[in-house]
Amino acid sequence: MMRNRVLSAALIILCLAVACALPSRSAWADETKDQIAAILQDTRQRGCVTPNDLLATVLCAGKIRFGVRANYRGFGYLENGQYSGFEIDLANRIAERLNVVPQLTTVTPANRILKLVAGDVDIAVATMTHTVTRDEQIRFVRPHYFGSHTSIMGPRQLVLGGLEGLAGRSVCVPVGAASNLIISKARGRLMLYDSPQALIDALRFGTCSLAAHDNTLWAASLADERFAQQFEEKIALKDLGWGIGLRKYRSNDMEHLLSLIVVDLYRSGEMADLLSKYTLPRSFVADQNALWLQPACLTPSGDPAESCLLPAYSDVDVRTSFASQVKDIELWAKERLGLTVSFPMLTGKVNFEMFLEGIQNTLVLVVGAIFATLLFAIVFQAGIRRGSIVFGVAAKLLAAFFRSSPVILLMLLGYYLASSVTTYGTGIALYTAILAIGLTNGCFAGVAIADAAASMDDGTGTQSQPLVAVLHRARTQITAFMVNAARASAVAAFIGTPELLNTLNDIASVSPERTTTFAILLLIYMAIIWAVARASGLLGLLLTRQGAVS
Amino acid sequence: MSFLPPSFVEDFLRGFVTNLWVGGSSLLLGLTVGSLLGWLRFVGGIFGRIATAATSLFNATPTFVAMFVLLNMLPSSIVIADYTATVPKATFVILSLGIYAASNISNGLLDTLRFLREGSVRAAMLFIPNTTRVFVVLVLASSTGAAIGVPEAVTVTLRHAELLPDIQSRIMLVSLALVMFMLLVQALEAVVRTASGWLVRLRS
Repeated sequence: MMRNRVLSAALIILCLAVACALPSRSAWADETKDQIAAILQDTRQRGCVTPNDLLATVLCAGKIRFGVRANYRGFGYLENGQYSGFEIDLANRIAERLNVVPQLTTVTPANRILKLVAGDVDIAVATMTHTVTRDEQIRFVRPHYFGSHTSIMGPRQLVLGGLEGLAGRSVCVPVGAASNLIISKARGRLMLYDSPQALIDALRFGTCSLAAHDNTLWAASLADERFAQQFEEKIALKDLGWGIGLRKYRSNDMEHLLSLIVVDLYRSGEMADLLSKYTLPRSFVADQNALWLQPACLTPSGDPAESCLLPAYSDVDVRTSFASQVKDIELWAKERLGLTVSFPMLTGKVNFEMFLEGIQNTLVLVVGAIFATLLFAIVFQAGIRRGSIVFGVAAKLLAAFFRSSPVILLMLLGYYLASSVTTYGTGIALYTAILAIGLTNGCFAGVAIADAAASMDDGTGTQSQPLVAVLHRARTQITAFMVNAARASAVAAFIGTPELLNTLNDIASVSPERTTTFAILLLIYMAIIWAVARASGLLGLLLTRQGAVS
Repeated sequence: MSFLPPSFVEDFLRGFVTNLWVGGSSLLLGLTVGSLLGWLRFVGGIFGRIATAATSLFNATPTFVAMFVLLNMLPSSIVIADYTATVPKATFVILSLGIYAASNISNGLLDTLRFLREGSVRAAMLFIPNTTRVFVVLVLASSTGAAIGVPEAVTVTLRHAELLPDIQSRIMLVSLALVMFMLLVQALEAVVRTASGWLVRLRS
């Protein structure tokens, strides 16, 4: 009995000794806290004469400027002059840890990186997904403070069947979202939105068939019973981490300190507390909480272990061989002309290939639409001039039908018809668009030719007039409808034809700057129409010569 | 008629009213800008040359592309004091169609003013039916607003069609929408023709 007691006591003493010898979880947490305190103290001791890092600048100024969202409920929302949301609370907590005053400035998805780089804000806590492309422009603090996946929402009764079901459907997406390229590659028709609320409204009011956004946005919407009765998640894309953003230049210390603060917020449970005030998905923070409590995820100095950090989302596009020259031009325009321009279609290989494909398809579409217009014009005029009552009435009825039909609706009908008999693809989309544009403009031109023939009737019947002479008489109308056909070719974007409007819209959807892209788009289309007008003029001249000969 | 959703006809007609007012607003914009351009071209001089260049530029602008360009380059909301107003999507359709209408009106008015100078009032009166024809074209072209979600008749058709379970029902619904468009546009053309004839007679 006595022996057992002695053995038990010895075992307890041994366990206590082992426990004391090993660094405990709290001891490592203290290492993190200690390191935070040490960095702050060291930076303060260096003084404020020549602050060499963003951290020193912030501590010396006694204030920190945060770039935050103002229209994203749950994360950053401005109402009655007051910001609220998880990211706002996180920003305030960081300022508290640094013992400085937080100053909040509104940023948008389009300008958050620009504002960081320009030094208008010190730190961005602004719903920013950590991507490889963005890593080239700014720094991201890891661990990520939040994570989400892109949810594609749609009406409950809509049967989608995976990413393939997106083809030809309008999908409302936020500007600059990394997932936009996935949707555009699935041939979804992107409609870009700056504001999350506008995107939700667009789905509610049927502006788009589907809407894609981080699941965080939908969490609050799905809490609304009426919304949840109408809509559901159709597709969930991959999980992506959100990071605190810093400028690249002289911000090593700040990045290191923020990284430690985020680890500490996870380990102490403060991150989960901050999040618990809002109706937001908690799985990412809960997972990270558990992860950072594992001893293996911290180095003895209290730093986060690389193996436990999530990598940036790989959205990288291989650079073109002339990307550096393009970047030089962008820089030159900025420095010399004060213009912020960007040419994303020329700097990335995938983007450049999409751009070239867009130009090629547009040219095919324009040329095809013009030829189809001429072909249908000849067929229609022949039907009307044939003299047969049946043909004449049928041709005139068809002409009235096409003249009263919006080309966009004809394309939609063509799209459904094509989808019912074959697998819808680029070629089919092009043929459908060419057919719809050709029929609409061809019937107008056909009626104009028939009218011209009637005006030349010398009592021998409209059939007896030579075609060249009739075409010569109707040349103004024919050329006008050829130009119209070229003009209408862009409408093909509506049924998912990968022409220039569609491809540049897709490229712009992941770019922070859209003005240059759309200006280029307009210029190219204007040049095409100008060229078609010139070519039509030459055709008119040719017909005049032929007319004179005949 | 299993393909026909119960509220389709009513929703379609409501959508067509949007087509009418978008077309009308575009014509109003086109008349304002186009009249100024046409008059400047008639007067001539440096401003006349500028107006000619502007008309050519408008003429070469594809309205569908212009709509997307305006949508992406203009602000989507306007902040006045503490109030933020969202710019309706129809604005971008009206502006883009206004470009087309302005070039058309500019050309038409220039011809009209020349006819009047030559004393050919009858030929000048062609401006009225031509302008009313432009209105019909604009009403039809306003359906391009479907690409950016303006709640007009094509958007309504698309919204209903997408909820139908099979492709055959969708084809039927879109075909019905096309027939409805034809009837409504033919009726509109008849009204517009009568009105313009009445205006011409009144002027004569």
